[in-house]
Amino acid sequence: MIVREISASNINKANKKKGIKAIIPYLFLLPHLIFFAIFVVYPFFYGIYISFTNFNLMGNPEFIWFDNYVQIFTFGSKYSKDFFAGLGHTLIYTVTAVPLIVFVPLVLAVLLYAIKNVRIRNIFQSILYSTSILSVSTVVLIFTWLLDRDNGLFNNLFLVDINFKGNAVLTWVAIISLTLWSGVGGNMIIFLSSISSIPKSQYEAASLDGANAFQRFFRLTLPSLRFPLTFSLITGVIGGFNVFGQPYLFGGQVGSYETVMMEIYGYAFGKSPMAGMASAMSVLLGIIILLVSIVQFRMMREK
Amino acid sequence: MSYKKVMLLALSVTMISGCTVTSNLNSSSSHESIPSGSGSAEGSTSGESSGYIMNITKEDVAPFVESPVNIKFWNPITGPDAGNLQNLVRFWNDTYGNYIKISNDPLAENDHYTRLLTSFADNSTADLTIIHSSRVPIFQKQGKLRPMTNMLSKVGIAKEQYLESIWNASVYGGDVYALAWDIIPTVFYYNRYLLPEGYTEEMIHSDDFTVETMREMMKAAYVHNPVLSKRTYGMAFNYAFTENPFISMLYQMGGKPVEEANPTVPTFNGAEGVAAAEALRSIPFTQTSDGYKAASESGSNHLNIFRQGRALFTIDGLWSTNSLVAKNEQIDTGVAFLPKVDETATRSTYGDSHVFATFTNNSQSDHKDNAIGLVMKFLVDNSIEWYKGGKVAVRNADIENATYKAMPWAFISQKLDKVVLPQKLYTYSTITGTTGEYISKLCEGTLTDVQAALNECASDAEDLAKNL
Amino acid sequence: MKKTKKYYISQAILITGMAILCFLWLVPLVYMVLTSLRPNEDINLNGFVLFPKVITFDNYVIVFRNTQSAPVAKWLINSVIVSLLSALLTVLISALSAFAYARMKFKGNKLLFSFLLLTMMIPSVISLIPNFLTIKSFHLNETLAALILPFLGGVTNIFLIRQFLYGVPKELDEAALIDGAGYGRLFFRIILPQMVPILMVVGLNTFLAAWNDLLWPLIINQDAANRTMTSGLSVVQGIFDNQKGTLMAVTVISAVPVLVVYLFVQKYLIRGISLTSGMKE
Repeated sequence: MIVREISASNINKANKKKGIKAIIPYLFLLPHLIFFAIFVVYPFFYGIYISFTNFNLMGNPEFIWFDNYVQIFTFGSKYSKDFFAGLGHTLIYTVTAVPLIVFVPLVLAVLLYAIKNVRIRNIFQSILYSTSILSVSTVVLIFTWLLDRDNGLFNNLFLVDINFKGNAVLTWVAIISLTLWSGVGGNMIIFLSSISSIPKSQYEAASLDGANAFQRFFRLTLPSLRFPLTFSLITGVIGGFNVFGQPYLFGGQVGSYETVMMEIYGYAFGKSPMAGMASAMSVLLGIIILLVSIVQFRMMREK
Repeated sequence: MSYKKVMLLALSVTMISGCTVTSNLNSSSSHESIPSGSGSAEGSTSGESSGYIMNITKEDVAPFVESPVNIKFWNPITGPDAGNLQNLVRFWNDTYGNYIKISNDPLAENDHYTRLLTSFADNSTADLTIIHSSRVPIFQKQGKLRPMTNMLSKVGIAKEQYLESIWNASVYGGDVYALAWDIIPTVFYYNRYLLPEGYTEEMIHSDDFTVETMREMMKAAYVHNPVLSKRTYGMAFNYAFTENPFISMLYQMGGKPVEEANPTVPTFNGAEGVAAAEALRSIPFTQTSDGYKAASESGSNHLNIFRQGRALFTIDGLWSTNSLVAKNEQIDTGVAFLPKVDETATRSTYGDSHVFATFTNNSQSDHKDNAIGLVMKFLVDNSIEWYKGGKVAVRNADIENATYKAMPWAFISQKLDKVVLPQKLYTYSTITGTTGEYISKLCEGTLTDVQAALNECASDAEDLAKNL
Repeated sequence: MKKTKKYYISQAILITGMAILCFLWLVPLVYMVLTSLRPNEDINLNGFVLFPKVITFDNYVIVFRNTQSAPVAKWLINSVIVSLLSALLTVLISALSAFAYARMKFKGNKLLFSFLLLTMMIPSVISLIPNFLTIKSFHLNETLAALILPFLGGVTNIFLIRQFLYGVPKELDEAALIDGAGYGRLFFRIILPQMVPILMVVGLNTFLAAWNDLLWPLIINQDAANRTMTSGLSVVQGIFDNQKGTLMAVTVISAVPVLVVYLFVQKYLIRGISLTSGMKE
């Protein structure tokens, strides 16, 4: 609708005052700016404000200054334990899953590229990507059943007795496996298309120079993937710090899998709501994410 | 198939009070007609009975013919007992759904309370909810619950019909804030087929049955078999359900979770609590002579193991009976009180309740309240159907009901003094709520020092109570 | 290059290896389907069986009959509506905005855009609770709009489209403006068709993000009828806890439509994702 008004006003523009012409750009921006103001700018400041209150989703919040933060940094308090345990689990996920979600697709992409029959390559690519379009809930439900202690396929087929929910390490192995199953496809396609765009002549020239497969990979393939690799690493790390769905849905032993996002969700909307405390945790997590992104961007620039 | 089962069961139901059902309400409309004659013993022999009692008459719903209402009904009934509620709601909607429609929207317990609490932000709570009685004090203190005194008296639900302690548990300053539908104690299930030699069912039911005796039985029942699915356990242990067994055992020892005079102080970390936690923790750590764990490990599905006839015992809420109590090739289930911690303890158990509650919300009206009253009346009238899913009766008349008496857990009604109800303190659910995590960790073995764990748990509880 | 014997052997090994991997890749999906065809009683009593002895579609009947606590068909429709509308609106709004930043002269262009870029650094987690309260105060919770609107304020897509626009020759604009076309016509007739590749990427990413989102729908739409497939599936775990066959039937219903659509559009999808790689360079 807005668009139609713009067109109408533009048709007459030649005869009209310059004032209208000056407004036009802002009309293009307006739809976005409205949502931007309501759902990006305002909540940022409001979220910080809430973190200084004892708001619990009802009633009138009291301004309590840094009380929530003090409670989080009072080591040994319930809030401190939950936040830092959550942070620990988030880090476990980030440092294990994120490199894998870049490395595994890279290997797959290189292997796929090595297959010279394009038809077969495309079939493999389609199959490996197909699981990436499933939603996280679907994936976790499938894996929960697949890895079920008693009735799951995994234990019964391999005649082993692995208890994926009975031990923190195994729980993370399961969570990371399902993350890979549903997450490598996208990166794989991006890497594969980057590799494919390297001119064949370069490879041939390198081969003639006597470079073996490994040397060709490090000299030619890897440099061409610099941008997609760093990009997927950066988005992966930010996603890693925000991880919620997989551990939330998969579960495990109490106290061994809860991430910061789960704690924030729990404190904001769970058993006894403390939106103020949850906001303080969000702000702290936000600061951490911000610092990590800044470091990453710096490193990318230096390269 | 399950529907047929319900029909058959229904035929055998003896009704509490004589009641009449008018079936002419819909006779002129295309709407399904109301099944008739379900209300009396004669009705049940007629063969046309649906088994459900419908005391709500055409006159009762007349005000809703002109302006129908939709009752949003939130509840945490998603377990094995969900079918019992679904069928009741379906029967109501088939009968009066055109005038008063129940929108049944159950969620698993945690999600249920999340939805409830987030709805407070804009007063969009459902018209009728089921919550646990342990939660009533805090919601009442926060002013979130509406008294339902008038609603109940209008439809003839009165104090005299109920067990006194249960009714009084929801009364604050003379007003009724919640209506209990049942008691749901933590119980002990056993499989008669697996009773080891030298042990009898009478022993399990005797007042002297201790955790120690139970562990001996577990060892004797454990059968190790290298082939995965053939292993038989002494107990299918439920690691996600440790809060209630712990609180039960705490009460057995004479302890209490919360200081009554100063309810922000937890008291479960005293000597009684330590004894209770030690006893509970000893169950999953029970070892057979050849070094195997007699109980199933964390991460297994205890319900499945028990149902497949692979465990002598399991501990769970009474609400799980639909999936645990059966007599077939694999299991022949018996229900008993939790074993007691040691000789000094009393054999008792903790029992929460499902209660109906009406929260303040932005769609409340007197018109709707009348409908809610009728719906509650219908549900309460059909308590026997509800108890079939594993509940202890709360209405005096029901306790004497023949159908109820035939339920394997009816004996609990004769020992109600051994069932401990939640305390009426606003911090109660918060403070007991922290124990689950720590007791689970102790049972899983990720924590080992019982006293230290309970102290830490108590300090967590104090932290949380501070912010209430 | 000459095709030696060694070449053929290495290709054969490679293809066999990848074929095995792809087979294993699909096993979880097959196990899901097989379980969904078993009666719950059979699963509860007999536990693991690779190929069901009795095949039944009862689980699917149970799922589709449950229209109160787990209206799966409704969830599927909700998910499609939300993902499609999110993608379309995001594309439109971001394209308009990016066009203005890239091609129009106005006061504060640079300043405003720098501010936008700055907010890209703000982690979204801080906005969670405030956005929840905002949506509630608009009384938009329990509507599909609640699942769409908060994401229309995003900045990343504008940034991507703006970058892309620098690759579109400016002469197009000048010619059109000289011809007397307004900015509106310029945008819709001339620039928009040029932007199709990047808009496809943005639309695709938005669609998948909306489809996959769990946390926000879990918080803001809690009535059974207003859930999406993703948030709905997170509650069925509790509802069908002891009916694994039914649980897997729900899972199949959540996966199969997506996989079928994927079969038909995979070419475009993969092309779209490949474009993402070009974008960053």
